[in-house]
Amino acid sequence: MRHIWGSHVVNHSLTAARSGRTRLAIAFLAMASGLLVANPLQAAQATPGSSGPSSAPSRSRDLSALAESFVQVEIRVRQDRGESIGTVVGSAASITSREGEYLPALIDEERPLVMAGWLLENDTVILRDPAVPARAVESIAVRRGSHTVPARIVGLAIDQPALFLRLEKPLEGAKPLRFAAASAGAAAPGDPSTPGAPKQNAVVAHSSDAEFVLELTTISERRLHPTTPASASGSAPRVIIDRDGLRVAPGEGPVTEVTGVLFADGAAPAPLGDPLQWPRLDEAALDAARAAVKARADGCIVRATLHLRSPRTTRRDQMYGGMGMGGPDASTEIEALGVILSTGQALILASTAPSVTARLERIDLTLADGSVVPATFAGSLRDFGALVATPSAMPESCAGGLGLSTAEVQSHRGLLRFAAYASVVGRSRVVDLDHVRLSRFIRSWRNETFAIVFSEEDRAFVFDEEGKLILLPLSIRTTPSKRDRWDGGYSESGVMPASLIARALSNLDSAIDSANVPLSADDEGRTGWLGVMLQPLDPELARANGVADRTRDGEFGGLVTFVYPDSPAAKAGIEVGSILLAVRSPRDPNPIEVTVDEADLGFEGVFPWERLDELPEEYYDRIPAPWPTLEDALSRTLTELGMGSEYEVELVINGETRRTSLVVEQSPPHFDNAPRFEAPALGLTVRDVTVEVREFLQLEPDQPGVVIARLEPGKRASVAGLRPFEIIVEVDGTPVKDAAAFGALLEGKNDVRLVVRRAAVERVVRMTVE
Amino acid sequence: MIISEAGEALTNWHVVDRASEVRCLLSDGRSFRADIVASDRDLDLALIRLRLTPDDAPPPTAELGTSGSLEEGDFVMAMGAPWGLNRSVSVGIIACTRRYLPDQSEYSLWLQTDASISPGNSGGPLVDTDGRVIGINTLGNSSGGDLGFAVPVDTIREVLDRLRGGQVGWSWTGLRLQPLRDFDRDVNFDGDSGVIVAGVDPGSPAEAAGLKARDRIVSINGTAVTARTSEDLPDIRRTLALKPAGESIPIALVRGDAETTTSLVPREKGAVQGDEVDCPRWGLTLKQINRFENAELYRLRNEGVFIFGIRYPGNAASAGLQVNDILLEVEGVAVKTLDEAKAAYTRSVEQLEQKKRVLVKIIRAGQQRQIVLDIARDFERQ
Repeated sequence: MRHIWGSHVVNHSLTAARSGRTRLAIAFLAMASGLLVANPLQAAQATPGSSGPSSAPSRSRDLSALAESFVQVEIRVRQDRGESIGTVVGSAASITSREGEYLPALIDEERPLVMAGWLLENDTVILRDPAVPARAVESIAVRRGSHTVPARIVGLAIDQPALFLRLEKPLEGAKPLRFAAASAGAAAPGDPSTPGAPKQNAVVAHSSDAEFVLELTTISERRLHPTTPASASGSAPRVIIDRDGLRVAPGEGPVTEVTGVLFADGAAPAPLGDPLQWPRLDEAALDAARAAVKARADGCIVRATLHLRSPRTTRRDQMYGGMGMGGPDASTEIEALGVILSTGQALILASTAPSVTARLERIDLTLADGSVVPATFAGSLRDFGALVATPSAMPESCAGGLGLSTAEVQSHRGLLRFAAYASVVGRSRVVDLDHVRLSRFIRSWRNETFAIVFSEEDRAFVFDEEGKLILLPLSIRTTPSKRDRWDGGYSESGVMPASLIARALSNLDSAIDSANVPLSADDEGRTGWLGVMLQPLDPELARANGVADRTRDGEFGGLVTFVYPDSPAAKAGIEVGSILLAVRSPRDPNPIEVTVDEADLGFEGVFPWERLDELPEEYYDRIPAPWPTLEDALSRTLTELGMGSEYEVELVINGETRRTSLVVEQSPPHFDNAPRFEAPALGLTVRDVTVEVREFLQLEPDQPGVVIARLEPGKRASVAGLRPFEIIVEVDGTPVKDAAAFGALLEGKNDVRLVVRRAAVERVVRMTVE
Repeated sequence: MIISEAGEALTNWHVVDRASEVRCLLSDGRSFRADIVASDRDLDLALIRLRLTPDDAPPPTAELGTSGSLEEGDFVMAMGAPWGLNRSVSVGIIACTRRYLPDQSEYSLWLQTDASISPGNSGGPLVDTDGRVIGINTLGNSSGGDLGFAVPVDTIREVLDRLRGGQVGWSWTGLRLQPLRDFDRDVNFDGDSGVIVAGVDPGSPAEAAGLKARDRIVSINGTAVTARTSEDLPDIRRTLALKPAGESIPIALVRGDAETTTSLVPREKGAVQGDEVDCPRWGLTLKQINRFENAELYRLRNEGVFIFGIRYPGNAASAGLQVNDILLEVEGVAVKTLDEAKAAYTRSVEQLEQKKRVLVKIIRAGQQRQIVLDIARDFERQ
């Protein structure tokens, strides 16, 4: 549902919405790093990897010894399946390399991701972990000057965002870093609990044009203090070093040894000394960790199928011959992912709108082995795009279920975590596994902290070291005011901290939306109403009515053209000529602007009753109803708010703006949902004469009849001369009360004589029934 | 066709409707101005009189024959000026003596001929092989085929004296009739005589007389009537409509199984067409709502004016006004009559310097809408 512009762009714009900085930021930061080169505060700089002596002259300290340990790492990426791989990598504040890269762009442009690396041993290189999905890595090469050797990943640091490469053979002329003893006068890593930001002497590599440049500088630590007690319990305050670099001791003279390697955005400041001593997962351990995550994902992340009652085919659908009937609102089956939780609940990651949920009949969970566990609906989350169901039994494959981590997401900053990227493609569940490093966080919805996952965020289930979920791919529900009418999307994709979901589930009653529930077939079509017909504003009308400034020059707003007697609108004093501006609901932070859909207005102009006989019967379904529908955009909004919900209408009456408090009331039956009687043998469907039909045809309240809602070409009713939208007033001399009565009157008859009314003119029609 | 030496001539209503001047050219080359004596939209007939002076030699006249004795296959000739080619004659046969055309046959059936009838034939005579007028050619089929329709002379003769008096003066009962048999719709009513009441117009004399849908009228004014098929309806309608207004007509009818009587007092039918007014700066023409001509609009509002025509390009078209929009208010002033509409139009044009936009309230599809009519642009400017 979000693929209208292709998932890249949508993902991308979403990232923009969340973080406020996306690919543009890359460009800005590239500029910023360019400025750094010219910064006079630089103590020294060296250009590593060049063929000659690998250092530039320095006023104060010579970096050429370090330059011998510098390598450039080139990671070539590929597309491994039809689906798109990660969007952006190099996600951390890595100024040593580019800020971030767009993986598909790397593939398109046939260039590698370039990172700065340091030789730790003759055949071992450390670099910031760009967290490129393993399946997207085609090859890795390490370059120094004109020399290049292939390399592979042999380990991932656990507490630092670093990865280790093994070179196929040593690089000519390269020398490993020399580490000084930990006590050799380097500044001790800052105590994170101490306020302030200790400066450290460091050598950093940054890319300037095509070249990397080494410079001696100071870098600082920033502390992240916990903002909630929740994180205080589990983890220490986090430290971010503002850049990657080599820690060096202060002093004079050439820099020949380093005291440590720093990675910005770490969980904690990197310990002094040789990074080879850092806790890490080597290849075998990585495999094992992946296998463990895979087992959890396979067992507990299942395919969920929502079986829905067939949607009603409305006049509108018929008119357009079924075109535009696709989309979420018309499906009869929704495939989604379900997560079996340790609470015994299943969280189904489907953001169904009330009109869709209304048709929900059954939920099936299909396990990895193909067996099916039915589940019953327990509620749709009001704020999140998911619904909660109760499986009939806990599947054995998911003993105990998945726990939801209650820790703040930022407590995982920089740490090695594993993600299962799961999705339903067709009827298969696809799971990919990878490690992730969370590095970017943002305060967003209701001041909660969200993690930004750059790669496939709509598929990412991220686990903590205990196997609890930290993040899962679901989204904040879009409120009606934000509804993107283009794709009918009811939610944005995204990745949600599990702690928020855990909190919602812990108090389920207040977290679910009572208006978003399965309904009976009879109730399913119920709609809320205000009881007005509207004409869309335009700039001229808005100006003429003095509301141009309140409607963005007539861009939204509806001019009341009719008020149904005894409707909520009539009771609220809304009159013909009033202008509705917006609906305000406590559930929506924004006003929901009133808009008028032209297609809801019915037949424009004078309905050509007298020409109905000329129209070939196969077109009967295509003519718009003469009357405007009661189920218009406004009523759809009210329906979504839910019957009985309080709302305010902002409107202008006689030039004065006012707000009226109302409660969503159910509309009386209308043409599209009125009780009906179908006679398939006759090819005839009639419906009760509803308020808008009565109003349009100016029928007296006691005027009997049923309205012809559908005629099938070639069937008896059509052949007998009945035409769409005519009123059948009598059957064999008996006035017809409603659709049910009409059905009863036909019973046992071979042949009936109908009094039929077209607009204002009646005639008698004989129809064979048998 | 000239039917009297006094210069009376018959033609179609649609030939002289809206005529500002009528000129007649005789085949001997003389030309005359003519006055419209009467014109009748319902039969599409007009009687005009040439302005002859005592000095003028009497014009040649056509002899009216009889249409009642015609049979299918009789040879006939159509005379007229198809596509402006005057003094043309085409020949054919009577294809059908009693043609019922829905919506075109309220008071009369048609003579159908395969003699070529084209635009320009209207008002010309259809004559038999003796040269006697048997009908007035009125309808053709512009999409081709030899289908022409003429008003039978017998019908014309029935109303000729009334036309000479200035108008037919139809009466109105508001009775809608349906035949006993309707093959197309497979409708068969019980009984072999009478005519079925399909419905009565609200507020009509028929309603006042207590007539109801499904009543079977068996006699009118003591004369038995039967409409077995729709071809029988025009005669009955014409009979009723030619009864003088205000005079009671005894009606015998069968309702259910019971026979009963009532009396029907027709009223004057009055205008069957509203007057029009042109509003060039607005880019539209307005017309008065008429219950006979604009039944659908009349149902929505039984008074007032509606948009009859829209000019393209024009201000009304740009503003989104549509044909059949009923005008309710102009700049807050209610408009019910054509005069009020005219006044509103004139006012808006006079105030154009100060006010270039006119707020118009209309009824469209039963809803009261507003439209801003921007009349700043002068579409007449070339």
